Formats: sequence, C-alpha cells, structure tokens
Amino acid sequence: MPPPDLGVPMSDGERIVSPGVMEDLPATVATILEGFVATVVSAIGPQLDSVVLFGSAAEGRLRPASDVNLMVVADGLTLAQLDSMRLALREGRAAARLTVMFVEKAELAQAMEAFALKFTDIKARHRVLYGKSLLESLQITREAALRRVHQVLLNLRLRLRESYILEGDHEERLAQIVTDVIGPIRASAATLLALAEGRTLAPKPALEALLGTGDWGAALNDLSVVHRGEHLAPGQTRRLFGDVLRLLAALDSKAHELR
Amino acid sequence: MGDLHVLDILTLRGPEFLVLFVAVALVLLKLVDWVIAAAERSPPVMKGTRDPYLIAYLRGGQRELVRVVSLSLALRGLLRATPKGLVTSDLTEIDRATVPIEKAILTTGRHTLHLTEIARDARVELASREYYRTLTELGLYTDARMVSIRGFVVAIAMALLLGLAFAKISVALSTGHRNIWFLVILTVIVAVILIKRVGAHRTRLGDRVLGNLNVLFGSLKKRSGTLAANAVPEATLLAAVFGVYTTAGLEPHLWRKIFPPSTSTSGPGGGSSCGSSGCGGGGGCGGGGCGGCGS
Repeated sequence: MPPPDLGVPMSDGERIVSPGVMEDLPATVATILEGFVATVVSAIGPQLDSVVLFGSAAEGRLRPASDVNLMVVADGLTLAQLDSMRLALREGRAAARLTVMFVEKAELAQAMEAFALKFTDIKARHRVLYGKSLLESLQITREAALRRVHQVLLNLRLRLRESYILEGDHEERLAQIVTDVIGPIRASAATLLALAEGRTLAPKPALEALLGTGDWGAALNDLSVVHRGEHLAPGQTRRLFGDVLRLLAALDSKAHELR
Repeated sequence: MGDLHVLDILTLRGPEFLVLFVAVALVLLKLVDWVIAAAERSPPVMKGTRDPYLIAYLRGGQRELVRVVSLSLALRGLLRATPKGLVTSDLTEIDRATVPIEKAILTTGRHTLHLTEIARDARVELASREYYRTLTELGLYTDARMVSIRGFVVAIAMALLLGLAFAKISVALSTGHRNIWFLVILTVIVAVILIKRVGAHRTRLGDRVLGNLNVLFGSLKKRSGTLAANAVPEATLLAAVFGVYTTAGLEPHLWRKIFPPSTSTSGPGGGSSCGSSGCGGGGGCGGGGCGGCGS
C-alpha cells in the first residue's frame, strides 16, 4: 500500500504560501490552497514555474457557490507528476470546488491566444501564490481577443436558446442557467472594455461601464440578484432570460464595431 | 488526623456525600483525560489525510472502510448490487485494481455476499489492517502501548472511585442505612464512562483530525444533494468523512441495494462508527436510516 498522502497541514507548520496572500479568503479555502500548493511544489519540483489564483477568489469576492480557480504553470508535466497530485485535487474539488488549469510553459502563449477571454480576465484578476508569474510578460493580441469574444458570445446564445426550449417552463432552472452564463458575459465585457478604452476593470463593473446603466439598468440589477442566489418575482426570470439574449447581441455588436 | 477526615467524609449525609462523590468523579475524569492526552503526544505539525479510505477507517474502523470502498466500487460500476448482496460486475477488473482493499473486495465479490460477509473475509481483513497500521503510526489510532497506558490510568481512577464508594456503602450499611442505590447507580455510570476511555479506538489527535475534516468538507456536505451521480471522488470523500448515509440521494436505488435497512440500521461494529460526525447535522439520513450510526 502506498504511503498516505498527508498534505493538509492542520496546524502551523512551514508555509509555502505567504499567509498575507490569502488572509481575506475563507479559512477552508485558504487551508485547501495551502495544502494543494504544497503538493504541487513537492510533485513538480524545480520544473514548477508558478501557481496563480484567479477569478473571484483573487478579487476576494468568493461566494459560497463560486469555484476556486488556479493555474499551474510548469516546464513540463509527466503522468507521474500528475498522479501525485490526484488526491490533493480531489480533496480541493470536494472541499472548495477547486478547478485547476495545468499549463506547460511552452503552451502558455498558445493558450492565451486560444482562450483570450479567459486569459484577459486572469491577467486582470490574479494573485501569485507561488513562483513568479509569466502573465505580465505575455500579451494577448487584439485580433485573438476579439475572435474569442465573438465565439463565446455566439456560443452562449446558441446554448441559451436550446436550454430555454428544454427548461423554459421551470423558472428556477432558468435562473440557474442565467447564473451559469453571468461569468462569461461579464468577462466578455471586461475584454471589450479593455480593447475599446484601454481600461481594465473587474468583470462586473466592466459590464456596467460598457453598457451604461440607463436602458440596461434593470437587467444588470436582476443579473446581480440572480447571481447572489436570490429570487426574482414570478415571471421576471423569463423576462431576464430575454434580456440576456439581447444583451449578448448588444455585446457582439460592440465587438463588431471594434474590428 | 487524616483518619478523622476520611471518617468525616464517610459519615456525611447521603445527599452531601453524593455531591462530593460527583465532584471527585469529575476531577478523576478530568485527570484521566489529561494523563491520556499527555501520553498521546502530538507530532509538531499535525497533518490530516486525503485518502478517503484512511478517513473512513479513522471514523469507523474496518466496518466503515468496507462500506465506503464498496460504495465507491458500486458507483464506478465495478460492484453490482443484487437482492442477495454485492457481486463483482466484471472479473477482469480484479486484476486491474491497484488499491489493495479494492482488489480484496472485488476478489471477494466473485461470489455474491453481503457487506458483513465481505468485511469478515480474510483478504479484506488483511488489506484493512494496512489502514489500521498507518493510522497507529500517525498517532491517530490507539496501538497496544496506548491501550495499556489508558488501561492503567483508568484502573487507578476506578480503584479510587470504587474504594470510596465501597467504603461509604460499608459505613452506611454498618449504621443501618439502606438507601445506597443512588450511590451504586452513580458509581456504575462513572465506571462505564471510564471504561469507554480505554475502549476508544481513536486518539485525541485522531479526534481532532476528524473534527478538522468535518469542517474542511462542511461545504461538500451542504451540497451533497446536488452532487452529480458521476461525482465518484466527491461522493467517496463525503461518505468517508460523514458516513455513507450522506450519499443516499446520489443513486437512491443502488444505495438502497448496497445498504438495505437490515445492514444500515444495525449498530456500529467497531464501537466508534459515528465518530464525531454522527447522524443528523442537517445531512438527513436518506431512505435507509443513518447507516453506520446505529440510529
């Protein structure tokens, strides 16, 4: 029987991540991240480049239902190294909804082009938990970012229409479907704003800044309500669903204007 | 002078003596706990464990280990639940299994068996022993040395307590008093509490690690009702930390076949199946009772 994995420090020991970096995170999340980073460092060794926390956790705005997003960048990843991180990732997924992107250093530039929207968000909102991040030194081309925004916005509309047909008569499911797409919508807006005005804002204020709160005020407010897990008045979720489809089209138009 | 004090104590009136007896018992229990905790010194850095099977053993011994492993194998489709018990779905999977306890259970499952029969199989017991060994090495489970220390400490406490009770009863009977039953009952209760200190499988450190795991996976328990049926790693951890009853909603039909009411409501075999998680706690008990908690 292999020796047990004992990666979760339950009391003060040697810290891999400086406690100050995670002091505003929930204790459970901080414990999981500390244990996971320690395992990654031990598994990958000197080939490890960096471990970066991104998304809402990096902003210190983690909600109970939020995923905790990490990116691990290394000089090469073998199956044996991946094997030794299995229990730690399972634990993180179970305890804190930890999702991890394992990127080889040579793939990073390519990944930034292919997932330009995601990486624009990562560049804007991240904390380095270990090592030195390469993100600052790499740029996402304007063309790649716009292409990816178009792709995401179109994909969301297609998916939403199908979901609406399947579950449109159940308001609670509609609310869940809308909740699931808020992240990509806001991330698209942040990318578009950065491309249009050179301003880097967090995704939520970016969407408000891009659309203005005039015509879209009610829809944006309702999106926040649904995102918080609160309920809209009966019938309003269906109306919001329609607004989201219009909003996606409006963002796509702005993306076209930028081309 | 000292004899005079002891005699004073023994000639106290019944209620006053009972109050004194309870106070002495509480002090003794506290002392026993303190001595046991001091003997079970914690390592400088207390660490938890990520292996769900090790966690299952820590929580409820071999019985819980077998239940959690069987659940995991069944959710992965490697064990099939039938009305007569569990059976290995595909015998070629036995050779592919890399975790010894999984291989042992799959081997046992060549013939349809109930969980209790699987747990009694020699191969399963052998594979389970590794978890016991690891837990004792980590200081999370009591080993023979620890049991003897606990036994010694508890024996001294018992001798003091029983001596005091016996002396008082003797004095009472010699002076024609027959109202000794409160004292007898109280003595029995305290003795049982003391004896349980010897029989506990987990060390204080083990209790703390399990408590920490309960906190760490608290959010998983809260969302147990929304776990997807294919979320096997999460379900296995959930069952390991909180008990198999928390996974009852995942695959209700399969779950009820694996843990029919006759096995899920029977008492914990290892004496500590509930651990600190216990039943309830907002998790609900599913269709088959609390499983492992002797509800």
